[in-house]
This record gives sequence, C-alpha cells and structure tokens, in this order.
Amino acid sequence: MAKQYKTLGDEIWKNRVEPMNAELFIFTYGSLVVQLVKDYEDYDQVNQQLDKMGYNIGVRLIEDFLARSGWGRCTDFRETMEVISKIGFKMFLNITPTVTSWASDNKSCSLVLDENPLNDFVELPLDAQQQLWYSNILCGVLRGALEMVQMQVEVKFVSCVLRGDDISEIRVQFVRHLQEEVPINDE
Amino acid sequence: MSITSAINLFRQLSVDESQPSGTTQTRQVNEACFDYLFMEMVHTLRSQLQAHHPVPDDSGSVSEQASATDRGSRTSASNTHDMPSTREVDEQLLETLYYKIELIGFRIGQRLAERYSKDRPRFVDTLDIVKFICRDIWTKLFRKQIDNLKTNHRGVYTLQDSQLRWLTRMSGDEGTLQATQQAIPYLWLPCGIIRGIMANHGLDATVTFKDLSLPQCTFHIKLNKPS
Amino acid sequence: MIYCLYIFDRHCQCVFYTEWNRSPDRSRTEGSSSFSEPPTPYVWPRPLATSTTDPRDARMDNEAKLVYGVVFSLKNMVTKLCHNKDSDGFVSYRTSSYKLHYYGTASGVRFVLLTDPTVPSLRDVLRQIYLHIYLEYVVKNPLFPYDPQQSRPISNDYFGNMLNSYIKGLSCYQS
Repeated sequence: MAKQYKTLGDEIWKNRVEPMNAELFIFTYGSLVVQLVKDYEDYDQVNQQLDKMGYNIGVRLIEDFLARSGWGRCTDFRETMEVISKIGFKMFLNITPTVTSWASDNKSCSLVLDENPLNDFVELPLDAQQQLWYSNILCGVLRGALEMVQMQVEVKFVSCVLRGDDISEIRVQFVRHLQEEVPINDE
Repeated sequence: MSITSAINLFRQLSVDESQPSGTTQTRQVNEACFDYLFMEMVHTLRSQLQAHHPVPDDSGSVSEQASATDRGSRTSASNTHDMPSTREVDEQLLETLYYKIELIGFRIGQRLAERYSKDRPRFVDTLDIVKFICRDIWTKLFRKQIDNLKTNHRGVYTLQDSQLRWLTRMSGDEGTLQATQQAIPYLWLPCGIIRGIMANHGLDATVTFKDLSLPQCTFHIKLNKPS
Repeated sequence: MIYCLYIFDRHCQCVFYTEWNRSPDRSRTEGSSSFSEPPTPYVWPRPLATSTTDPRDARMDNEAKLVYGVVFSLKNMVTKLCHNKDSDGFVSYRTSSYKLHYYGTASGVRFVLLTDPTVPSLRDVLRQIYLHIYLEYVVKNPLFPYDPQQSRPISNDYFGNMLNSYIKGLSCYQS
C-alpha cells in the first residue's frame, strides 16, 4: 500500500502541480513569524496563532489535495497517515515524512520530518529555542484538513531540529470520526 | 522576551548562503503553498487588528459578516451607513494593516535580493537594479517579466504588469469596484518586496501601486533623495 | 444537452445553481429557433449585488432541497448495497426525460448535473469543474470569505464565467 501511495505522490508532484522556487514561500513564512513574534511578544501565543492559521489553511488546502489527487475513499486512520505523508506532504512541500512510532491501539503516531523547507535559512535565537515551535503552522494544517474529511485529530510538535533536537517530530493523535451533516427535513 | 532577539530570527540568513545540503539551492515547493499562506496571512493580520479595534455594526456588536465584507474596503458601499467614527477606526486599521504587510514584504524583498543578486554582475546604476526586479525577480516570483517599464530618468520608475499572478483568481461577490477595493491589501506585499530589494542595494525608495484593474496593476517606484 | 448544475456544500446547502438550455417556464423549446439564451445565465442564490428578482427564485429553494434529498438517499443506498470499497459509489441515474450525474468529494462538496438521457457519463466533467473552477475561483480566491462552518453562496463573476464557457465548450452542450 505504502509503495502505491509513494508512486501516486511522485506522479502528482511531477504532473499535477505547479512547482516554484521555494524561497518566496520560505521567506514569506519567516517574515510572518517575525511579525507575529513582534506583535505578541510571547512565543506561546505565536505557537497558537500559527496553529490557528494552519487550521484555516488546512480547511482550504484539503480541497486542493482531494481535487488534484482524486482521492475519494474513506480510509482508516493508519492508511490516512500514509496518504498524508506520501501524497499530501509530497504534493505541497515536496517532502515525505516518515510515519513511525505507532501506539499499540493504532490511534497515534509520529511524522518525522527529515527535511522541512520552512526551516531553511532559519536559526532561532536562544530564548526562542526554548519555546517557539517554528513550523507549528503544519500542525494546524493537518488538523484543519483532516477535520474536513470527518476526522478529528490532535497534532503537536514534540521535537524540532531548530531547537537543537536530533529530529523534527510531529505527533498526531486520532480523536474520533465526525458525522457528516445530513439534510434537515423541514416537511 | 526581547524584541531584538525576534528580529534576529534571520540573522544567519546571508551567512548561511553557502548552505547545508545541496538540495536547498534548488528546492521547490508547490506554488499553492504560497497562495494559501498569503491568503491566510492577510486574513489573520486583519482579524488580529479587528480584534483590537472592533468595528461596530448596526447591532453594536462585531459581526462575522461585517468583518468578511469590509475586508480592506476604504470606500466600501457597505460602509456608507456607518458612523464617521467607524470609518476613522477603519482607516486606522487599514493604516496599521498596510504597515504590517508592507513590512513583511520589505523583509522578503531583502532576502530575495540577497539570494538572487549574488550570482550576477554588479549593478552599474539604479536602472540596472530596477531591471533586475523587472526581469530576474519577477520571473522567479511570477514566471514572467514585467510587461512594461518606464522611467523619467529622474528617479521615478513605472512598472506595469498586465496580469499579476497573485490577482488572477480575485473575484468578489459585489462587483468589480468592491473586488478592487478588497484586493488592495494584497498589493502592499509586492510594494514592500520591491522596496526591500531597493533597500538591499542601498536605495531608499517609496513604492506604491496605481491603476489597479484586476488582474492588472502598475507599480510606482520613486527614489527618495538623500537629505 | 446540458440542463443545469447544482453545487451543495458540506452543510447540505445549495451554494450555487445555474441552468442552460432550460427556458424560464421550464418546458424545453426543443427545435425552436426562437428560443435564444440570455447573455448571462440564470444563477441562484442571487448574487448580493443584484437587487432584481426572478420568478424562478421562488421555486429554487424547494427544488434544491429535493435534489439534495434524492442524491443523499441514493448515495447512501448505493453505499449500503455495494461492498466494494474501491467503487465510485453513486454516479448517475436516468429517467426517460433526463439524466442526473453526481460527483461528491470526501470533504462534502457535491456536484449535480442534469442533462438529457442520452448523454454519456459526465463524472469526469464534474471532476474538472471541481479541480479547475471550484478550486481556483472559490477555494483559492482570496476574496471569497471561505469559512467551513458557514454556508456561503458562490456568486463571483470569474467562477460563473469560467463555468459557463467550460460547459458551453462541451460537445454534449446543445446536441
């Protein structure tokens, strides 16, 4: 299964998206984080704000994902995470995080980002290294996108190379399946 | 925390250019990543300001509808029934929003200039730098050059783009005039970017846009004489 | 021949409807050359900018609900009856007077196209509308206040124009 997703992800990246030099995106994100840090003067609030922005992006971006990948099937959480890594991350950021560290109940796992374009050119000042999750927007994107396909999850960074950790790891916890809305019968 | 440290977030940028992994040199992402980020950035900065300066509507509370339709409309028709004070708040809000977005653009421009001008021969004069923006930078950002460049040879440059990529999907619910008004905050980013690039080459300029007619736009660069 | 298109959002609301080859009194004027299309097709819900009303407005709310109800039930029925996970599920049905084509996304956006009964599957056409028109001029339109918690009618010009020219370019448009 995982192999098949990888092939599809590669094919979408090659043929169905418009790639561009990453600099504009990276610099815009960095400049935005700087602005938020100046505005809030509090890294926790910046983390929250980035997560919120990610959510708003995720609810739109899921349509891009579905439209371009043609993905339409309901899948379980385990399969969904493979799809996110091999197709989702691939088609937007051109990276493929490793899905690993599954909990025994299959309801939580980690995405390990061997590379992350957002981190390029960035070095955090010391105080930020303690508190800022620089790429926290990614957590919100996953949360928003999955909510739109009826999957409620909790997503957070547990380590980040910009903080001096060995790896960048996002932990994803499945919460529940959401019910699709049904038409209101007003007769 | 100190603000200075925050500003230093990018301290390493120019030094780092030698670069860790070779892949970074040509790293590519889906163009949509920028599109979504840009959209959400303008939206977030605006809501952030609105939270600080609530714009009262008829019922006296801040309504979702008001915040959605008033997006950056200086002379929005929906504002005509508002109290003058609301308009003042609106003006102030836009002023702050302008400052933030333009500044974000300015920082981007500086980075872009550092990144893209190092491989090329030194600039001989200001026109050379403006041409660099029109050709090199524009091609990197929009996969096309500026359509028309004019100068009066006395420090004023006019850059016309007949189809600015970031504007091509913009279409509003309430007609062209409203859409044009709503598009304004999105143009402050390229204005800032241009100013940032100029500043990176030691030139103090004022950058504005005019003749906005979606998706066409003209940028106006005016060099500020050193006093 | 293509008759009309409905788009429903994840809240089961019709956020866009437009029609072609369908005269205002709803009886098709087949073979009649006197029936000429208005320059801009009828669109519902009415754009905010227009204050004019159309006699068709009154029936639309009900009609949209009916269509949604039918599609919703059929989709559920097909899913229940079919156990193949890779199946596309409900795709279309046909009566003697029209054919209904359906395409729904995992995010709850639903496209419904009515045509005459002879038209082959237009599922791919609906996918193209989703990918090249809905995605571009709704989802990625910075001026569209996109809020997944609220229904919002689609009434921007680009969307309408792109859709119109795409549909009119199809070989089955008027044949």
